[in-house]
Amino acid sequence: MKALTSIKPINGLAVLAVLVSVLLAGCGGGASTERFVRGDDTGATEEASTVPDYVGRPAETEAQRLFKIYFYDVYRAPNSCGGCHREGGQAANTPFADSDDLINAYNVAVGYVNEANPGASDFVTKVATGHGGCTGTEALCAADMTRAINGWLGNNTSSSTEIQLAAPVDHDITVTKQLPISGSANYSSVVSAFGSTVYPLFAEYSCDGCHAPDAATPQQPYFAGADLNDAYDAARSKIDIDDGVMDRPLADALSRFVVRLRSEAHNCGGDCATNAADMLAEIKNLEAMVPAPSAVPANWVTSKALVLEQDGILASGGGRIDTGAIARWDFSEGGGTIAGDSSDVLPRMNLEFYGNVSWVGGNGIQILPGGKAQATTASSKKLADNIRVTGAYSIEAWVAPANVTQEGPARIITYSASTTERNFTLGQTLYNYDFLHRSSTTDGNGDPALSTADADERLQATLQHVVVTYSPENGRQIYVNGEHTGDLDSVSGGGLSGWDTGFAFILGNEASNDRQWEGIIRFVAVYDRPLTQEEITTNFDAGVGERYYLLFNVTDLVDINDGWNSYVVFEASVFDSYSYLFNAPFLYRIAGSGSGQQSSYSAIPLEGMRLGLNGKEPGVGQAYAKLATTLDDSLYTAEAGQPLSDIGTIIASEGGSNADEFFLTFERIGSNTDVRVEASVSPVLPTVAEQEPEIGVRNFSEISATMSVITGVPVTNANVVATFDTVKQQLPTSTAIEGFLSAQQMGVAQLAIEYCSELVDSDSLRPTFFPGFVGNFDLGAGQAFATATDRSNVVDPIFAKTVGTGMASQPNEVDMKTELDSLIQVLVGNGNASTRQIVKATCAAALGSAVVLVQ
Amino acid sequence: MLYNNKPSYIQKAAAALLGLTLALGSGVLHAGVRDEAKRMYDRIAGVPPTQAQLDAMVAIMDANNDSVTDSQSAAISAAAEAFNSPSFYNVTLKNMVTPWTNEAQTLFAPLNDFTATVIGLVRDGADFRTVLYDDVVYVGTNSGFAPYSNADNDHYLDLAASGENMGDPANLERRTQSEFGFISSQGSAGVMTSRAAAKAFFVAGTNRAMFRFTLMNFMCNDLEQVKDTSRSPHRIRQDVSRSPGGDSRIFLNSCVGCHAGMDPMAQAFAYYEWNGEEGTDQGELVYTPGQVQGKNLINADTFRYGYATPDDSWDNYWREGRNSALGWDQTINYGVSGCEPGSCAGAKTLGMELAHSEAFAQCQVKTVFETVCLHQPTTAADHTQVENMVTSFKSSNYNMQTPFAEAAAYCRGN
Repeated sequence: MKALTSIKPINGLAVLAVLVSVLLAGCGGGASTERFVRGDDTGATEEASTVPDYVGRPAETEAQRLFKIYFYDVYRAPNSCGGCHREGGQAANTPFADSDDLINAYNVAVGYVNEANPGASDFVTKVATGHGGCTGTEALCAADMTRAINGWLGNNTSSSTEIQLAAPVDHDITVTKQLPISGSANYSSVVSAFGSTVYPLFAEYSCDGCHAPDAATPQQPYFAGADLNDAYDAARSKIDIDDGVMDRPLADALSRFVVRLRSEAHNCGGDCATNAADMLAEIKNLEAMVPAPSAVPANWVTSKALVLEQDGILASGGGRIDTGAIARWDFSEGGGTIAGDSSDVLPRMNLEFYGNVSWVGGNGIQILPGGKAQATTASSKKLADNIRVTGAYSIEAWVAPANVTQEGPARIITYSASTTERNFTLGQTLYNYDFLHRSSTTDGNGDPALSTADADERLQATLQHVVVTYSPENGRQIYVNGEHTGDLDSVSGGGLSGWDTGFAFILGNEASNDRQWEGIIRFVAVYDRPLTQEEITTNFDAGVGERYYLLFNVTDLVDINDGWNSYVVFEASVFDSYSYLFNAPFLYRIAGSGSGQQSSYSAIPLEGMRLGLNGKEPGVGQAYAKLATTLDDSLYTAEAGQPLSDIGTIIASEGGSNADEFFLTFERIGSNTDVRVEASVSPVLPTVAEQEPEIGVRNFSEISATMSVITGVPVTNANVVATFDTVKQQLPTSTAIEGFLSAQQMGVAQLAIEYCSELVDSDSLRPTFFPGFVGNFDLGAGQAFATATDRSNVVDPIFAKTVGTGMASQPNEVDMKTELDSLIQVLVGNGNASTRQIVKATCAAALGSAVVLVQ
Repeated sequence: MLYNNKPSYIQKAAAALLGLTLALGSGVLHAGVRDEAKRMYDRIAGVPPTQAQLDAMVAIMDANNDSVTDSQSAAISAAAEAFNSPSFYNVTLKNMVTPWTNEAQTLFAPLNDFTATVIGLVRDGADFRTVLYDDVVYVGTNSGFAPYSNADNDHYLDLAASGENMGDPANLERRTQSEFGFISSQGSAGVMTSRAAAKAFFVAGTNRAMFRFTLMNFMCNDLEQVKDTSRSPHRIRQDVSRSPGGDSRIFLNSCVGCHAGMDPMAQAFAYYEWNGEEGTDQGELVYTPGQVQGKNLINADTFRYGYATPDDSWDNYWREGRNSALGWDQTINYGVSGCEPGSCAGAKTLGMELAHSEAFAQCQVKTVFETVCLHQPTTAADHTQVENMVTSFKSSNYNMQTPFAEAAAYCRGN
């Protein structure tokens, strides 16, 4: 939160000034743009050409002067509001656009402006709802009107914005249906209803294959588990009961169970739409069985309720530095297919949407595959016209790349004609931002590009503030989230005279439509000068989108009886299309009618604060549930109130910022308590399944160790180590017998042969292992194995060492010895092998067999 | 090599070998006492017993010599004979622990201080819970080895190459981490502050890996099994995007489930760092008490309203909600003043928090069961056995030899 200073209590109204670290010296510059500045007295603008010269009473106050520049001189044109809202006009009773008298017009106009929330001004509401005089789309007219009012109020250009924290009109909490939590009334009946409606679908859709504690690959939440109560508890946060209450159609349903099927095709194959519809139908059936409440739970300790856009006090708009902005888009229209250029430099470079472009919450557009937003080449020309004069420029944007896999570079912002011709491009290659730019030291495609370093991974798939600047002195520079990336331009700065005025300015793709970028863009501005580090930091700190202060009334809860009203104040905003950001709550007190000084107070507890939404407590995002602090006047300052937390959190949206109603609940505040104690959860009982195989195989190192034990050859034997290192990856790593492969058997055989070879070649081990065959090793094979006894002197010790005796589970002694004896005879008969080789082979046949392998 | 030079008889040998494999695999087994003893030894030691060892086991478990195992306790006593085998330490335990010591969970990683320390603790029958919080490391005694160092793993490479029996206290001895000078006793936290663990889980990143892998290896739960979106997210750090790709539903439905519980516990590792490059063997564990490592504060602009780590204090929010089922010790005493159950500071006390849970005890028992029985517990009898083994494990003051012997006796066949 920014520092709050300069409080001026005025009849129950407190004025806060948000100080922003801006050098005023930077304001009012930008010589190259002066000839186009809206309402500039020194030269007519293209748009202002129909506005008659003003010859009436001059402005007497700063407010009137700003009114004239930003509002009056725009809307008093005969083809605009001035056609009717003037003395003698059709709407002479509201002459706020009378060209003859600025002061009279101002005095009328102030009655239709909502200073706390300009977007909610009557002027805006009028043009947004089809009032005459709007020549573009209603959304565009409303956005323009809001910008004009913001300019008038000083919200756009001032380095210091005063924010008036006024007491809002309190609402009681709107009571809504809720799915009861464990221990509350109706719990068992609703669980039962769940069991007959939504729950059976989980088995039908095979959700229990994962979302059950006893699944083979269990994945939370366990809403498909066998225990119905547990399943309900897990499913509760995934069901939006308002889908039933408001009878939402499938496309608008918010229940997670529906969204997963409808929009994310979560394991539903070709039946997703049908399954989603069935799921929604059962959720509505469940909702019908949930008793309607008459009040929020009696034990809750609650604040009053507020709606963001209706009751919030606008906090943003100030603090940015837009000096030198020759094109600027804040995407505040929220509808239609055009995003208006809100800079003061004409012509307007309005961006028209092509293909898959949609508006997102909190001001912004989302570019999806096939989508782009493009200005005409005629209007785009103003970029080249202005920038070629100054020879320097900057591009500023707030973007949220959809992923970190797109490349090309994928065009985020481009001023170009094709994949080979451009003036500039801000692009994405995986984790990097790329800045291509045409000058006398680069080619017509802007190469060599300046890119952020791979290792830094500057680009992330989340909302980021990115600024690129160019000046002949410093070349190209890239700043991400206010910080210079340190990447250096490989070429020196050059001239921009080669810029082509026939290119188009585009967001999201190349002119040739083959360098798609996907993501969200919430702000773009192009400047005809390089922004400084300080300015970039300022604009980053100013944030993006509209921020509000929400004042939750807790006067009745804190037990401070001095006539002052107490509020827990949040800075809140629409975070994206799906959630709100609530940040840095603080206690703030506003004098009530006729009250005197604040009384002293201390040690007033404030614990377990939760955000409520539409009569419910959202289950996710309750970042203040662990808050435990005390209210103390010694911690309170007029500038900042008493900070309660410096943490922000996001809360899922439901009905939109003009409808969702927020409130606070407390486990403890003042003398009011509602301590929540969660029941402990018992461990899930293990699932009984079929008996698995009793036996398994030895793994790689067990095989080697076993062979070592049997042969007496140490595992550290150099030849054994060499062979083991060669084949170990081929040997079993798991002891599961089902996983055994024939290829693994070949590895076992190789290792067995190595051990047996080392055994037979060892003068110390050989006679110990084969005591009855000692004299035969030096004979020829035919003579050495001539008799059955000779062969037994080899086979018997092998059997004894590898199998042992007296065990029913091991191979039959006669069968195995016969097999080994046959092997010897076959090898002798072939006449190719020596005696030692035959012993090694016989040894290996046993050592590499299942006797060793299976355990 | 031999098999390259003499293909003809090798091929025949292999054919005979396969035939034996098939012959054995198709047989129906009826085990006697000797078979049971052999299997117990096989499963614990990883290698078969000698005749003499088998005879000794049979003498214990069939004292009346009627070819029937006298009792379960007799079988357990006989199984303990296998603890004398070097292979129990050098093979079975090494195989069991090695995957815990690296991110890829490979069995083929070299011997290291993490593995050796677990082996030593099992060998000495120590309270195994201390594996996560004691000032302990097991090192070789052979003066010919490269000395134990925080800078390399050469000591353990030498130990492994020597083939020395790590079951022999004369070869592998208990020492303290702090005596080697790279970490204080207060900063030590069992194997979590071993060089191998630091190299694997403190390298790069944000140190959350240490939490996740400890959870997997010692609590038998990956994050998927413990995620709980209903925990307060106020300790989730600034580096976690609340709107990945511009869609906050992903955070609200998925990311928060793990981070809300993980981040406040992983904060215990705020003072640890691995100063080597990822993918290389070089580097050392760095411990800076009182100074938060920069990796805890990176990417702060991803969500600047999030939590900035000020110190190494940790909180276990999983003591409430569905993860209360992990069975946290309600009366735990970390031995640190100012701490309460579920809330303290530093890796040592976090290790104690994890190790003193019911889930830790169950995890060790299940791991041993699977190591010895070669399958997961599946039947009702298996589950009952696991419960009984957990009870025995606790009553033996968490001596890991207890579940090994009991599992071997249970899975000895009949």
